Amino acid sequence: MGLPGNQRTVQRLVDDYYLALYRYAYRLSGSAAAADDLTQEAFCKAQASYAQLREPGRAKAWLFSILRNAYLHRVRAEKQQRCVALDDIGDVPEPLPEPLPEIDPERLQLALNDLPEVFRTPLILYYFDDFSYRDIAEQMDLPLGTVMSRLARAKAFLRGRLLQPETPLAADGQRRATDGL
Amino acid sequence: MDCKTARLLLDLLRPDGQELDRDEAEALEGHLAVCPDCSGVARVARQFDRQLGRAMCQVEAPPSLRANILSRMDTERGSYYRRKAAWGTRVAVGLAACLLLSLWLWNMHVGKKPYFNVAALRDELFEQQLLAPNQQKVDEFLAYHHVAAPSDFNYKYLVHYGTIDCQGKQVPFLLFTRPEQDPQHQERNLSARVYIVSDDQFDPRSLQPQERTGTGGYSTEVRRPSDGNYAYVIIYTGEDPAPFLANGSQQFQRPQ
Repeated sequence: MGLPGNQRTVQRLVDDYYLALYRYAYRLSGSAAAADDLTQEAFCKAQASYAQLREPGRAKAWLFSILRNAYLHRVRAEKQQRCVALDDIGDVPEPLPEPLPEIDPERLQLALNDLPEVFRTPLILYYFDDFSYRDIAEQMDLPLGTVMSRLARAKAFLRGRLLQPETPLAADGQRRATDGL
Repeated sequence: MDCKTARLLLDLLRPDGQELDRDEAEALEGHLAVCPDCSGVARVARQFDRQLGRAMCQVEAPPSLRANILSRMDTERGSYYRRKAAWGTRVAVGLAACLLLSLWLWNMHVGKKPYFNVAALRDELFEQQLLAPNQQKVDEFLAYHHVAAPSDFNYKYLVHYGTIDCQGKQVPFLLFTRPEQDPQHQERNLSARVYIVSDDQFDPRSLQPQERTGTGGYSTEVRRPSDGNYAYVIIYTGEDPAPFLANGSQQFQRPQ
């Protein structure tokens, strides 16, 4: 552990980003307890390595990156393997029904849980404010085209899952995120 | 722009529309204005994006989250400083141990002064008493060292015999003393020292017979017995060894 960052500065980071980070952690992990722990862990790591933050203006992306690494470390340790293959995604009904039904956040989480992490992360970041494709690509260390491709496939998956009648799989309220890592 | 390209761009279009460059965005909007199918798809896609974005952010954080985060950070910070302090203590203890060890080693091997052995000094004097000359003891001592005493000395004046450190070697040694014969200097003692030096210990060329030479109140001579591989190196006060030489008054017979 390195020298902790200035306590006031780090506390300001907490105030500015703890809600966004928690939401991200929740959507990644699919569990409130895991999200709570991941958020705390991310801020503790940020405090320990604050000196590595060279551009304070990119603090948010830096925090999200720390949290994702913590999450990946955790799921690798747990060796979770279950996920759906996106090749198996069914056809999306075209045209989509109008008006679209409201999306239930819990049902959304169940659908996210079935996405591999490499698709889930860009999708979550995409719908969180302020992350451009380029930001996502930098954060995931991927080419821009790969990010766009994964986003398009992940959105298609969600459309298929959320705009079709509820399936028995989606009724499994206890399912946690898995990643195929 | 054709419908296929428009559908592709719609996939990339964010709700805020900022991901497309200006030309692409204008071309897409132009196509949507004239294509009812794509326009419908776009409308639904944007609605889906907005709804999904809203749903994505609908996550209720626990009320205690912020406090929990700050509390854990405080704990980790305290733990960090404790580890830092423990590390500093370990370093300080290590340095102190090294310093003490260095001092101890220096004291043991560099700075140690010899122990003054009072008992040894006493024993040495006692031994010198035992070595007070008498014929049998001197003969046995010299025979042990495979040498013989010079035969022309008056052993009445022999006061000590033994081995002595001589230029790094232990050599048999005889010491003769007597009072000055001159009535004006009777308070002064004369002395003659005889070192019996073996050819095995020193270069024989340096032990060849030498005539008497004198300087600083002392004279030296080197003599060799006719049958021996050693020399008598004699140093005496004054210019003449005569006061120590036998003239019929020897205390005991010399070994032949």
